Amino acid sequence: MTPRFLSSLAHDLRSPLNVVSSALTELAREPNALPADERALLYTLSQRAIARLVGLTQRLSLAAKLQTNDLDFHPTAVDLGALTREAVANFSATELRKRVEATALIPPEPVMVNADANLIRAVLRELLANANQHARRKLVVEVGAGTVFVDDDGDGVPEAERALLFEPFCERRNRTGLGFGLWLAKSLAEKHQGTLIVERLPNGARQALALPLLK
Amino acid sequence: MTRVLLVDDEPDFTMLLSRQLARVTGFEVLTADSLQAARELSAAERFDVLVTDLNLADGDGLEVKRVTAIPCCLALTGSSTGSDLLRLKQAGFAEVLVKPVTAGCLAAAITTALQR
Repeated sequence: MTPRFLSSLAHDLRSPLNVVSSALTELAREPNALPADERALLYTLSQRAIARLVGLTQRLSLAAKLQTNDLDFHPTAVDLGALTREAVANFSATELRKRVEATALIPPEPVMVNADANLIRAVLRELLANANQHARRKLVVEVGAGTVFVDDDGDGVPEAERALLFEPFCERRNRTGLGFGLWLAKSLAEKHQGTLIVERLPNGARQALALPLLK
Repeated sequence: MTRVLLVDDEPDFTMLLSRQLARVTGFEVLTADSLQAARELSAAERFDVLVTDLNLADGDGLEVKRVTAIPCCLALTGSSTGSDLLRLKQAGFAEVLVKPVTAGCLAAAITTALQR
């Protein structure tokens, strides 16, 4: 583990804990003085922060299992469109930055793939988190025939850093987060005989996930 | 009315702290979640006080201080060593607060910094 990873892990643990700590301090100090909607907000924010901590522990467990080849993998017939719709809705409600707008372009008909739904949810969450980190204003998710494109309007990936993108725990400029999200997403895609690539767009970047369609 | 720009990449923390600070002080508190957002907001609006996290996705608190050019600056940090504190004070931050920080504590630090 690198110092950068440990520092990022401390940051990612501390951020939601700060929310819970602030909310509980406020609730304890003024339990009757706060209006009901303010109290409700404090509880909601605390629950969301705790959900993020739980999510973080799940990501760390997945990363550990991938590294030890001990992953639970139970593929079934799943609708990639429905999974993506759910992932975008969940992410928009909990993690999307306030100045960023997420658009989902998902066909109404099912896009059936043979996949472990929980692992694909984890992949989609990583792609959305990565795009959210880099987007200026827009994040567009588009589902095609066994594909999910997640586009952002950020600066794109500098040429010098492209080779390091999928390396876990590597050092890159202006990177926050634990530094294993794309490695995790790519490894899980490959577990499904799929691929994950990152391409430069004229105004941003595209993460392109491709999974074999169900035959 | 005193206008505060609060910059932090944790949106729920920012929402919580900005609402509490506004309620405790009567200040008008606007928020930004990145260096870029802080740059745009400070170009469009006047602020008296900057309160910024040091660790952002697209930059750090020192860059936020530089690009916003707000006269009174306070830093928020997750953990800080003595050398960090000295460096930040030398860079012109009036106060460095270690999170979690309460609105009352932040309000007192802002009031003190504005009186200097």
